[in-house]
Amino acid sequence: MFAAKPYRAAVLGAIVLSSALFAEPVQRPGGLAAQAGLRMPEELQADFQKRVGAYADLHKKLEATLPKLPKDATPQQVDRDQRAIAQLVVQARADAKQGDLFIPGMQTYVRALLAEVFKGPAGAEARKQVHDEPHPVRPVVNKRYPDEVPLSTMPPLVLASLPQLPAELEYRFVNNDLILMDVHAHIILDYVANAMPAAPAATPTP
Amino acid sequence: MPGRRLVVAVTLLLTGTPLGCAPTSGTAPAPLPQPQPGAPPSGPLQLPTKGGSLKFAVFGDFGDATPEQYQTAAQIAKTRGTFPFELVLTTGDNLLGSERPQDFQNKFEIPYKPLLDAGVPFYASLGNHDAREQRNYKLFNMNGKLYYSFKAPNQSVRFFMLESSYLDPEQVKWIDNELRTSKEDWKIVVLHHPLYSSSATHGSSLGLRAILEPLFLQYGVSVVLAGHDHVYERVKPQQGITHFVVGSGGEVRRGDLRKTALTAVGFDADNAFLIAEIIDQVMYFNAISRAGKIVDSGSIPRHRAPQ
Repeated sequence: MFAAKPYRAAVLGAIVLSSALFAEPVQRPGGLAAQAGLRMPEELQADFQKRVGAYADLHKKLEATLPKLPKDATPQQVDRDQRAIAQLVVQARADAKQGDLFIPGMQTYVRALLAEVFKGPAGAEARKQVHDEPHPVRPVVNKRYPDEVPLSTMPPLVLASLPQLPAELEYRFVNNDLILMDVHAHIILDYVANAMPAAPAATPTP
Repeated sequence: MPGRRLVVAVTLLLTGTPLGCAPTSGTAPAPLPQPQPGAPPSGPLQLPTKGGSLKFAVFGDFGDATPEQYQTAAQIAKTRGTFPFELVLTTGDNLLGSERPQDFQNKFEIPYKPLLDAGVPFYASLGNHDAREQRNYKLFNMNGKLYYSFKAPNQSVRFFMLESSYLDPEQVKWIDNELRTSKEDWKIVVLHHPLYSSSATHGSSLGLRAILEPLFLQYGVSVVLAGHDHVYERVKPQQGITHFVVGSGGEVRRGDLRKTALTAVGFDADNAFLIAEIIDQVMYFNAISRAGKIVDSGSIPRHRAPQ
């Protein structure tokens, strides 16, 4: 089956793209974006980094108020610690709303960037990866990501294209929405609705 | 199948189920299967079981607290009676569904109690169903890391445990460096998403393959152990590297394996796990079903990096 042309093209495309992307370790958004003629405005990038950096600082500050998790922590301790930080985050961001981290300009940029990422055979493969488990939910800012819903697999091409995040945060998809999640607290911090373009309509066969 | 799941996902999205609502799920208990016509013969393990060798077990996609998981776990413990493996590797989805403290007990500590009581260490990799906090769970030996490597106790073998649901550039740089600087004869990669799989549900992860396979080839990885698809499959060597899918530690997707040119041996009629033994330049292996049948066996020579 892997001799089939679309798969070969997908692999080849991914290799070419990923080689280019991973050769650029620091300024990753430039990689695919530059190839696609997209350029993230410096002020937009600085603004986004400032916002996620401020959130990371908040997370660290809140975490510092909790007892340090021992190296041989029990599941009870891990769970208690995780829910405690979640509660603190929710309280500290009681007024948080969609667009606080992904400001409108950033949302526009992310949609344009992901439109490029999810183009063509490599994009179709990336889309398949993201949607390989159902996500029967909608993101809500400052709510817990439900334990029972698996995390989306993040295609390497997507991660290589988006701006780097502090260790406290990560990107995931919920259906076509790109969420920004606190890794430790399991809290959804913000999201870009319909960040992934709708799948192209299947070509009808004659 | 993926199309159907997408339709389900979109349908549920349109119904607007709010985040935080638990989706419904159900797991029907599966009875212990009867021997199938044409099933491989059962018998003693086809392994050298030599003193001083590295012996280990592998399974994944197990933490669902189903009778299938418990019965497979019992078979794994029983197998250790004749094949004293010294460590266990998990290919991810260590806990499916809820991950409250009681789930660590019901989905891990109770079914594998005989192994844990015997002091057999587990080394976990994370799957897409696994919360990141599992890295802090002592019995998974991840030491707080999402991805890590460790050396076998006394042999020239190193295992590289990846987090394949989030292969960001930092992790790629890490694995590149780890593989490059590793001096061990045997380099074995463990990750959740298979680079090669013939299963209908998920299949091969082409995006990961595009990034990782060149590194595996360059640095002489011999074996890749994955899960994600709930079946057992040994893939024919791909450019000298043998890939296994060992994702049937819990609920199995019966009949999910498609007939492709990739498959060396596949088994999707019941649960299975892998046991392996490395002696010098050869890795011997058996795949064993829940009922204790050997469903695959063979040996793999060490794959060397190009000079």
